[in-house]
Amino acid sequence: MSRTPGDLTSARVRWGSQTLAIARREWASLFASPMAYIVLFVFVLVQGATFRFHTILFDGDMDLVTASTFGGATFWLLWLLVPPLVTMRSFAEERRTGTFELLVTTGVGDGPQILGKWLAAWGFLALLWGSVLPLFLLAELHGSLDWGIVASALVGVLLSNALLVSIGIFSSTLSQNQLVAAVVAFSLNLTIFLANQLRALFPPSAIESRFFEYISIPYHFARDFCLGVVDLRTLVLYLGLALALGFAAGKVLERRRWA
Amino acid sequence: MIEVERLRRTFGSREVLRDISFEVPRGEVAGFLGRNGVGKTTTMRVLTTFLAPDPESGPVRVAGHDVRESPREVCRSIGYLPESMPIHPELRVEEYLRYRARLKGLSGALARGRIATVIEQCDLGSVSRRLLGLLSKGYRQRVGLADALLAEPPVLILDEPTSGLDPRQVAEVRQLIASLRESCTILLSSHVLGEVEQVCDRIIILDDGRVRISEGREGWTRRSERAGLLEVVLAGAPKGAAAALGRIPGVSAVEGVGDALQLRADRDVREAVFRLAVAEGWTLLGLTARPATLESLFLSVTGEEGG
Repeated sequence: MSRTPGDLTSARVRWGSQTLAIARREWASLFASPMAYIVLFVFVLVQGATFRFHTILFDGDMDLVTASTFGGATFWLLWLLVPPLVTMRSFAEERRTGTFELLVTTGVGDGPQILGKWLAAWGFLALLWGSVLPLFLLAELHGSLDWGIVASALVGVLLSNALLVSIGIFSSTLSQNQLVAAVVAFSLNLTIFLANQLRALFPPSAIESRFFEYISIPYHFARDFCLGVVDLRTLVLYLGLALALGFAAGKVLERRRWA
Repeated sequence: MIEVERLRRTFGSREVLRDISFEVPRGEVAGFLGRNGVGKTTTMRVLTTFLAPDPESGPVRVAGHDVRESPREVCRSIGYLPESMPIHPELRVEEYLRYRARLKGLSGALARGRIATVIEQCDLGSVSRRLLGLLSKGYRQRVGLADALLAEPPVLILDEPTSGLDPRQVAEVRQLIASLRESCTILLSSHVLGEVEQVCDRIIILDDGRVRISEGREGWTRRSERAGLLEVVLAGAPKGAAAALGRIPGVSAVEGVGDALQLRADRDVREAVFRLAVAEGWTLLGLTARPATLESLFLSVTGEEGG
């Protein structure tokens, strides 16, 4: 049976409406548990304290403060740890409680399910990282600030978090246990984070070294984002990998019908 | 409306469904019966597309759509209430129904109208602002039923719809199911045989992964009558009587001790019992057919192999 243009439009509208419905419910359920508030509170507290420490340490040099805020140890610790905490429940919880069965039997495809959950988790992480902006606004009252660098660093954070959310959601499809999902996601995040270290094993001109350089997120921050550069290749890499992981998550969900 | 042909489903090396076939015509309410673990939920999950049938299975169609070829169309044609209604505890009843309406493609005035209708149909008015996590099991079950009815599907698949309800709620749900007969085809599983007897036009009994009986009301009423208990009273409790009675063709079980024995059979065996008593020289003091019920049919069918 062939589909008419009207059918396709209505299918697209339904797809979009289902995606938004899932994103809204996920967003609401994030804030229904104390976890979201705890993560938000700890995040803002740690970022605020670190920012203050850096302004004192670098004697108000805002270029150094910006570089440390988006490249220091605290930044990478939060970058590695927070996304798995936000995404671990997405599919694991639905499968454990059985609401996943209702979702699937309503005719909601894998696409709206994954994208809806992705949007909610990414939105929450954007809110978290966006909470550093008031710190920079306050800092500007006391000295000059290069907003271009702050903006490109934030773009880097949001893009790399797009990838981390996909990793987290993919991990969450693998198990009904949230803890397992979080550990798998954290391990994958750590692998990406440490890719830069593997460059040392090869000569600088070797293709392997260039490959690890290409996929190393800390390297991208040091080379591009923290210097005010947004490289199209990096953008393609992050979004491409995020899409591939979303596709892999869909395959895992599809497989459970045959289990 | 629901057509299942040679449905097979295995989990690893365990064969749960072995070539089961049945049909539920449009507008009928079918009771899906069987002991725990015989594959009722698996069958329902295949019908709702949650599980795929084995590749060598025959066609499985719901509202004219094949579950393998057009799963989305199947999903749009059904309202499904799973066995233990899963919930999002953080949502209020109305919020949940709004969320479900959006997923089912209902929006605006149409969604509001349908939500109001199902809230009334399932008597949820008094709890519509309450959090799902705070509802009793009975209310959760009714929320699940309201969700299943939201998009006015032509087929309802209900896995133990009255589980956890109090007697008044059970009666109301039965009434609701009966009232939906005109607009829906319903497949419902239940362990409450009295309920099935009251509301169903057809029964499907599953045992050991196979369909034992799939018949309309007339057929299973006739079978029930034949499958009734027969009480045999023999003077002096002759030795070996129970074993000899058990060998009569059609008798599946002999229970009781002493003078009074109860025979479970899938046909009328009164004449055979009388002839056996004469042949053995027993004094037959009584031969009473106990009123037949769906329960006696169910027990005789599922007792044959499962014990």
